[in-house]
Amino acid sequence: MSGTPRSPRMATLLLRWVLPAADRDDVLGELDREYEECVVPARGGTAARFWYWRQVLGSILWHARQGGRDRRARRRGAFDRLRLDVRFAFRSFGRAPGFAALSVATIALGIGISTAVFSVLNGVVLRPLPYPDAHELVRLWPNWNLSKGVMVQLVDDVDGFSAIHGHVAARETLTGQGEPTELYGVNVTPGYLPMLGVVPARGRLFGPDETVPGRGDVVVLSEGTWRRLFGGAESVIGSTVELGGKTTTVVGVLPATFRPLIEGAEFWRPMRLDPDDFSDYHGIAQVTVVGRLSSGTTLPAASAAVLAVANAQREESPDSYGEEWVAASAPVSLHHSLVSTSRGALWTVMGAAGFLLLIACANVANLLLARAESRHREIAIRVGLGASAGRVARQLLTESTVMGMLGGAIGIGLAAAVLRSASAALPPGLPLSESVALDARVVAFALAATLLTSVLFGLIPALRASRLDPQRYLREASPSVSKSANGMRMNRLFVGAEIALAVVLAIGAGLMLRSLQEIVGVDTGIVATDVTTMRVRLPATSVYAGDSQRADFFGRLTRRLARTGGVRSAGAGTFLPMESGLISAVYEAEGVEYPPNQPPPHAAFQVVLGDYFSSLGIPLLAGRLLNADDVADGPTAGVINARLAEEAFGSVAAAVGKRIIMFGGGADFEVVGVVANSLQQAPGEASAAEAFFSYRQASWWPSMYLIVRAEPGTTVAADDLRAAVWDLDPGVPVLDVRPMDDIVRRASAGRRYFTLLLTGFGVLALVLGSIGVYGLMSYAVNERIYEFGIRSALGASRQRIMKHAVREAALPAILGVAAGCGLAAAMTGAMRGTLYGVAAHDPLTFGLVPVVLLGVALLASYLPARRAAAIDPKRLMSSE
Amino acid sequence: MGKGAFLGEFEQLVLLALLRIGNEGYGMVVRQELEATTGRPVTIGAVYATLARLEDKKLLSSWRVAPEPHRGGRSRRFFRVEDAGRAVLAETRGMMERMWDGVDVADEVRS
Repeated sequence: MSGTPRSPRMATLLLRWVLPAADRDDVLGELDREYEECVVPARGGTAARFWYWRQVLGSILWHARQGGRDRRARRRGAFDRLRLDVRFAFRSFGRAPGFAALSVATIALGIGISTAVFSVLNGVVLRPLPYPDAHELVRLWPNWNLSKGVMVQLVDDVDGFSAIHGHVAARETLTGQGEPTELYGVNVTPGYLPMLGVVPARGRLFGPDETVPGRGDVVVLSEGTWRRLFGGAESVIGSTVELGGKTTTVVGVLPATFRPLIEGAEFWRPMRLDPDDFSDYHGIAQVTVVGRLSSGTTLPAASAAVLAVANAQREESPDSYGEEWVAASAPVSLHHSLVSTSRGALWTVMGAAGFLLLIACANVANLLLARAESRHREIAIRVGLGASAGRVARQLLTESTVMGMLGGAIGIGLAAAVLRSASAALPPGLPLSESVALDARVVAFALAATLLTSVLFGLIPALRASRLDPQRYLREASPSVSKSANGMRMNRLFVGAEIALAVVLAIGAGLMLRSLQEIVGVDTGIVATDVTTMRVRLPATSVYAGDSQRADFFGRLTRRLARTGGVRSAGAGTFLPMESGLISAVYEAEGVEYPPNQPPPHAAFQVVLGDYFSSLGIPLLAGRLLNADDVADGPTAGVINARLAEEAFGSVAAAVGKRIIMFGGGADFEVVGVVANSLQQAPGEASAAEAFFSYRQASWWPSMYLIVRAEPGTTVAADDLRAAVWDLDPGVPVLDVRPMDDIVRRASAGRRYFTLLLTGFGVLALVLGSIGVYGLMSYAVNERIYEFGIRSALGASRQRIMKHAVREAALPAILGVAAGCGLAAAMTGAMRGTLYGVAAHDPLTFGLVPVVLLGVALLASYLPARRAAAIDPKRLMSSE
Repeated sequence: MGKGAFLGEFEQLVLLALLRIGNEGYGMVVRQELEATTGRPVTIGAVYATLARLEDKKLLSSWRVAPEPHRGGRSRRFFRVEDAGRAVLAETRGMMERMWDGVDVADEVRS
């Protein structure tokens, strides 16, 4: 009847495959009959198809469960065949346990590494942020901080957002709960935590009126902090603590499941918004602004809205905001902004792990091929007994799948163990590293990888084995002539592929190593040896309430430190290179014309005291350093670095004596000296323009880094440094006493970690590749043992035979290396972002690696070749 | 056959369904009867496998009906319960009744 919808073809095929041959047509006939005559008329097309699928799947399930009960041979359906094949597979493993163990181990290694890496990739890059509707969260001005004033303006004026909030990182001393301790936290606008969807585990969050100065002395703690400092006592809500010298009430505790945007945040306080405090409200760009798009607003629409407000700002104060600032306003997804730095590196490592897996597959495929050859007899008998080529291939494929599954299961276990033990060893600064775990997606990946690799390494050997001619093997007592050249082709192909992949991995690792070398050798602009640093934070008591008291303390401290035994010089600064973040402000050089459409330049700034520059080893280039002459009431003096001098005045020499205005007029100083550039952030980033002021003239920071340079060759004990502080005031906390060397090293830790990982992969690839070549060569020699014997009997010298055997391995090795170089050349372009000081096609790496790998390949083929040459033809002939 | 043979639950249901529809039917009708009366979803694969197994045990017999002229139809297989099948059903039923005698499930559940 025309018009009747056809039954779902895929379902039909599926059922057909599962059913025993005898009943196949009947069952399908009945099913189709009911479908067309009863179900379609009653329920309609879509519901009917649904019914059909349910019938098919239900029947398959029934057969899977019940199939084993029917022992009759003629009833055998797909599941029975599968059961049989699996049993057979285990039996054949038992006959060659070494081979099976090696294969399973290789696969386990490949799957384990890939799964572990994917877990990290998943946790950091792929998983959405752990907030409700996280796709709506964006970061405005993704690479900049804004001033509080601008943020408030945005909140009022921008359309398309259901919320806009900001956070500023903070550090405060907590006293009154046991020993004074320093906490890391965040000052936030009141709606910030609700925007992230956080519900307090205890107590409440802030109200909007708590940003007014005088009202905002409340704090919300993290779960960990609450347990650590308050022992998890319920009474914490409503109790008061001394935070940063202010009596603060604890109003809430956040749940342990909350992941703060700033990792490790221990407390949240309302951000103080006081428009009358000019420098805090307008002068410093310190707020990270995040927002939630209102439903229905697209990112481009939101971008346009933000752009409009940014432009309005610029028109209002063109001296403060330039085009660059406006252009930088485009919001990006919060997830993206958090992970963008790690993303590239992680994908590269994932790619490397994938390569390693492929190499493992190639190795196992080779093993399988070799093994299939030695099972010729067994396969030939089966074929002779009536098994079709398809049947044989299916059985071999089942074997390789079982092997793959075993390897995969072990691999997943391996990955889980590695993740558990190494979670502490993840590179510092990796965002969201607490989200790394074996979740559903990771397991699905592992399963898919396992199946894929099983097919990859099992398919070709299975197909090859099934096409064997049984006659040949049954007739001959033993193969006296080596197999045709064709037979070896597959093996050579696999080995060549392995070597190519190993070359790519090794080149990648090599580039990273060179890059690391460059970074480590980069001139940081400071001399970090023999330097120890520590941080001292003045408690906010009345003793240190005034500027002059603070200036006095730190002045005395630096002098005291300089007098300590073994110390050559001591200084203090508000920021430490490579350790703290920079704060920048707009500046204008006096007497310089700034064209109206250009963005006004920015410079970072610091406040220093004592022998800051000489302690860090930063040389003076022109003029003088800040000294005791720069008193509190005197004219503001500033030292700038070479970069700022060149930017503002064209040259270092020209800068001395000139004036610079910063903070939009908040500070106006004379340049008294110029120092050399030093790195402020991690090696690999250019140094920014920077200005330094004397602490005596800008004493509002209560916390300073003390920098102590020891006499060359001596070390100053941490205890001595602490004693120097406590001699002046035993109530002042001393924190983070560390050698400067450590800090420099830590700044490049992430990169080093990454390089180590890739190098490890490169080495593994090399090892696996060598095993592959060795295996191939051994196997080839064994196969051609008679041929070599005959050659020897016919007078060929040992050398000639060896040369002949090595040539066997040389060709795939050379081709593999060449292919690998080509592949690497195509792929390393993607690594450009992570390389430093090294070209993506660095000739040294590209030249050295292939030579090394070729050498290794030839070495691996040497031993079997020697065996070939040592064959005694007489013994060979007599044993036949 | 008969002695010692014990019918599984589904086997019983299939035999009963076949008897309910007049002891003569093909797979589709048996399935529909089963589903309608038990109120549980039943798949054709399960029904057919059971019919085949019961036939192996000689409790059923089957024969083929000539294919219908239109639609390139296939021959369909009819089933019917044999005397041996009836006998085993009766025996099984008797066994169940003896076990049920004196048991009140409602009371047990309440306590």
